[in-house]
Amino acid sequence: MLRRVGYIGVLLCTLLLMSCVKDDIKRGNDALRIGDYERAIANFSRALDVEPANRDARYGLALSYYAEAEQADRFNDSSFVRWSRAAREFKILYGLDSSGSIDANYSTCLFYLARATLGHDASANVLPLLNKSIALDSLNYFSYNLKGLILARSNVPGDVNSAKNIFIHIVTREPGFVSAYINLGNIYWDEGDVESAWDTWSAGLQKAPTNSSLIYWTQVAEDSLKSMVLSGRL
Amino acid sequence: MSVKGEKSMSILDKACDCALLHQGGEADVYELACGEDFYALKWYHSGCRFDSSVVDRLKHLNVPGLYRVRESGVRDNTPYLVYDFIEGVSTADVPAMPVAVALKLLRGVVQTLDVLNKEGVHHGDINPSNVLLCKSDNGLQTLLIDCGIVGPGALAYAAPERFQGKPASTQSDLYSLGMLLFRWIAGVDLLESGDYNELAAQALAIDGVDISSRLYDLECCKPQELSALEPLWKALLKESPENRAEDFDELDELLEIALDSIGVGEVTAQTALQKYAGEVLPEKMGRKFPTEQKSAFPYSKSDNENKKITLKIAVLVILGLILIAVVFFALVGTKSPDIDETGHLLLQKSRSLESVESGLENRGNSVPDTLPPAILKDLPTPVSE
Repeated sequence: MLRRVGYIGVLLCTLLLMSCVKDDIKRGNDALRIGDYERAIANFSRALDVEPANRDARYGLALSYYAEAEQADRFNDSSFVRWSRAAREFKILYGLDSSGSIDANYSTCLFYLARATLGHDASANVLPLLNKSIALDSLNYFSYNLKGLILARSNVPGDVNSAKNIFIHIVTREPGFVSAYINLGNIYWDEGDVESAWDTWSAGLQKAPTNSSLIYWTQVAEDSLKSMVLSGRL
Repeated sequence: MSVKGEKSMSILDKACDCALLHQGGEADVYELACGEDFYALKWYHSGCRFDSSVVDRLKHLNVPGLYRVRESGVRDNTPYLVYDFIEGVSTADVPAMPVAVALKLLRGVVQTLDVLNKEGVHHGDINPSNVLLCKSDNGLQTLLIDCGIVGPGALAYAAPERFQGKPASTQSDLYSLGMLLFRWIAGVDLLESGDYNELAAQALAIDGVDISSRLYDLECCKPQELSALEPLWKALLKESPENRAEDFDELDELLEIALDSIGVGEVTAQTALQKYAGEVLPEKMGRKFPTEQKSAFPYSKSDNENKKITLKIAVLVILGLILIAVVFFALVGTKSPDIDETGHLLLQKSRSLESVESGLENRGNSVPDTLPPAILKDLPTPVSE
């Protein structure tokens, strides 16, 4: 009899703890949605204190750090520490949930971390972070783009070609990604291939007709081409 | 009837072996083995039963010279009684006793009945089969069994008023003790008949029976013993209850006087007891176990075990369902349905491709192997606007 009462007591305690965890997660999620990241972090942390392996609480905490860091980025606040913290939570979460449902967010977080790392130390090697980000989500063109920029500025032979291929990869799969046109045209311009640069920038201009940089540099390239035709160099 | 045995585990269920000891008219008696413990099971025949009020009281009594009732109830629609197994021999199976031995043993029975009487319990069926002889430090002691019978009991020992349907009383037990004493001394019953009415008539005419002459004819008593016994017959074997001894105390005194009258002191009586014990006990005593005829259970043990198994399965199923519910609750119930949706919303917001800027203007200032801060600032990010 005493043993049965003990079993029931354990069950009730388990249910009580579970309901507490559930409440904390719900409150954290509500706070996250309205932008109260501090409260969201507090609620998700409380749920994790009771149940450290709770996937939703861990995901909520990672998203809260992510959103908080992203908000700080908008205000040009120093973000390296915040992104490191968010990436750490995503890394733990990845051990709890490898179903793929969090991969896109994790990938974006790694892009931000790579960017923040370079802001912190311009000579840092963030290619492993970006490679992991791309491996997690092959549709994360922001990571591709940053990787392309890094390779375009590298002195290692072949890296510029790799960068070109990356930007071509982006514009063919995501034609709305204007930055890739600019960066690809940039490489051609540096190589002296004004015609390819003009082709690329003008293609980007068709996608983003109001983009001031594209308008300016397409015009510069066009003028250069005209000048080259008139001078007989083309 | 009480079914106390069903609350905790019944001795019937705990028993691992069972052997038939005795088949009687009222019930069959079995020996039950429960590990190191042994019990006697009285399994009543159809239509026979015991007085549950008496048996319930006996369960709480521990009277010297009285059997210890452990459990009673109904199993398979049959009343049953379980008591401690007694290693002894029924006085129905022993030869005639010397008068001194009979008087000495009867004093033991009387003292037990006196205690019972003070507890408000009357035996109701005193006869040689219900008095067992057991080994003791003094050589031999009596042990009374089967209290609480419903009905007159053994007819040859039943008082006349019991034939008239009256309940057992001190006086009816005193009458039965007189008959028992005669049986022990003579080796035969005083009243003998296979017919109920004839025995009832003989009991009603008991006042006219010359008991001393009967004993004299049987040549089992000396004259001195016959005269010493005479007051006992007068105090016990009377048709009217009012004419019998008042209580067991009085009978005990009469027995003491009778022992004195035949010139038997304590030492002589003790010696006689030990000698008689040597004659009857060695060849009669001993448990049935181990026996080759084990497991002669009169009740359906397997059904009960099936019930227990079914109950266990039911409890396990319920616990299993609770466990599944808890696991389900843990996996699904605690999962906030919105957290993945929130993650998706944040991702969509992050990856909007509105108005990306480039680091084009800074290309002339680039440093090999590094990205200048200005470029990083202008780098398109998932939330750049």
